[in-house]
Amino acid sequence: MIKVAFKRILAFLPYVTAYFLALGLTAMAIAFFGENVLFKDGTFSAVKVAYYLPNDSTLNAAGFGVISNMSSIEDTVSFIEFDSEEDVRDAVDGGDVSCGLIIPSNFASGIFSGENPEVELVFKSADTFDEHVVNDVMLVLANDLGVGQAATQAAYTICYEYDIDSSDTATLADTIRVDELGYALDRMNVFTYETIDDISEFTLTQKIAASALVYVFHLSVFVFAYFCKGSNPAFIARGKLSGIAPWRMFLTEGFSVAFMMYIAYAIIALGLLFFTKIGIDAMSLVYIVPIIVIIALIVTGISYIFKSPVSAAYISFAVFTVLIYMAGGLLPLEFLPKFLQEGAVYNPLRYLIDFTMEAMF
Amino acid sequence: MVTIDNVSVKYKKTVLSDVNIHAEKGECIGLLGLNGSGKSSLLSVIGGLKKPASGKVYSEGKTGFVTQENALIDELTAYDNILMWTSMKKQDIIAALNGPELSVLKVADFLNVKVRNMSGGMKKKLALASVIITGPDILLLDEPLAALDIPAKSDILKFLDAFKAKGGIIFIASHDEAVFKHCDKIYHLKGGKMVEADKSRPVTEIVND
Repeated sequence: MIKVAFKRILAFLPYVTAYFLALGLTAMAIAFFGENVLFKDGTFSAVKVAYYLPNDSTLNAAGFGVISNMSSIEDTVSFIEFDSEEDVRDAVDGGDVSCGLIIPSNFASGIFSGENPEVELVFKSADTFDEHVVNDVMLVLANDLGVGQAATQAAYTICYEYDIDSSDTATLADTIRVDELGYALDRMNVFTYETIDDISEFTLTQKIAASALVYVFHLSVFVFAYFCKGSNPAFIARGKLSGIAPWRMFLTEGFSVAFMMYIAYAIIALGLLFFTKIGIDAMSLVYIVPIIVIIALIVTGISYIFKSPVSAAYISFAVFTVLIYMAGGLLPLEFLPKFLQEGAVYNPLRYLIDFTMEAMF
Repeated sequence: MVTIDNVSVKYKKTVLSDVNIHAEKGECIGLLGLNGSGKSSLLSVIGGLKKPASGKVYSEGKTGFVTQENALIDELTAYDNILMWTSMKKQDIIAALNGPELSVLKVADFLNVKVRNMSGGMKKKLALASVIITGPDILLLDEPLAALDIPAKSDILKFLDAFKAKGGIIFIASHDEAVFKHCDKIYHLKGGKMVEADKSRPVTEIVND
């Protein structure tokens, strides 16, 4: 029986490979290039923040540069520079961005004069995720801008108290600021864990790649329904009269499906490992096994429930498309309405996607 | 020996009621009736695949069932399909296929052909052979000649005679006149009831009763 089961697997493997190559590669292509569709500015970020920087100082630009390059921020927030304060406000009002930051034109000079102008934060009431992101962004910005501001003020005070020529203030400020900025940079690791839940642990591409894999594996009912014969009355009759219990047929076919899925995964994983920079973990070839077994048993179960492979394929397409969508698999959860984001907590596929992501990367 | 005693078959409503049949070794029982008359259901009850709503089926010996839809794996060869259901060794399988009982089906001629490349007749012969090779005493055949050409029908009918001759019991559901010529008794299933039909009458007449 086992020998024949392997022969069946080998005979069926070309169809499975063709399916996974066709759909799997399409899904991976979407994963790789999805950000170009989702984010017109070509970043991996889910939330867009508009900002306006006056041209009177490079200090603020440097601060922004540090923040926007932090891994936790880069993967989740896309900073878009606008040419004027009004443009920032319009972008927020129009819903093009989640929030806006306006650095006042007298920001740098105001510090020296003691005015201490504040950075203006422009935002509308947002859903939970956006609020979360905005709060985090503000935390980071406040820290960094605060560091810059404090450094400049300290330099100004030093110049004033020790009667140093104010033209040296900038040099002094830069010296102090470098030290302070070093402290801020040291906080990058802290931000990695404190910001935007666990999303920042993975890039959006990785998340979409894992989702695509789960989706394609579930949709493989299209091909495996023709492999699994457990719902076919002729095979049920044959099995019973031959003394082969239905559960034995189910497990034999379930593990055969898992084996074929694993081969397909190995091909996809090796492709990702050698031909992309997606950062797949080679150990995923081990970690993915229990996930594949679970999905294979689900797929086999569906194939058994429906008597016709066509019905099994169509119904699972409809059900899994909705479930994966609601789990944030087709579009990141951050893009979904608030009630769907909350509902995702009860969606088992969300956790399956998370486990797959953990296993893959 | 097979005795069907007051058997009723029910799904949502009763399909068959008060069915009584007795078959001795070497007998072929023909089941005749329109589509949906309960022929396949009765075969399932005899094979123990479906429980009767009432009544009992007594049978002695191993049962083999060749359903209307062949239980074959398209991607495998004839040999591998046979191997799926039996732990026999290859030489024993080939010997059995070339033996007096199965040689008439000529399955050994296409043992290495994949099911997907077989004709309807070859598939039916293979389905039959892969059941027979497990050594059943009672054979349940559901529409064994449907859509077969004349040589294939002839081979299968020859096999039925050989199976009967060695003492096997056959229950066969069919619409084919040729099949019933090989049957010892014919039962007509209609409107949930079953009556024994006069074997000498043409099938078309019996069905129109």
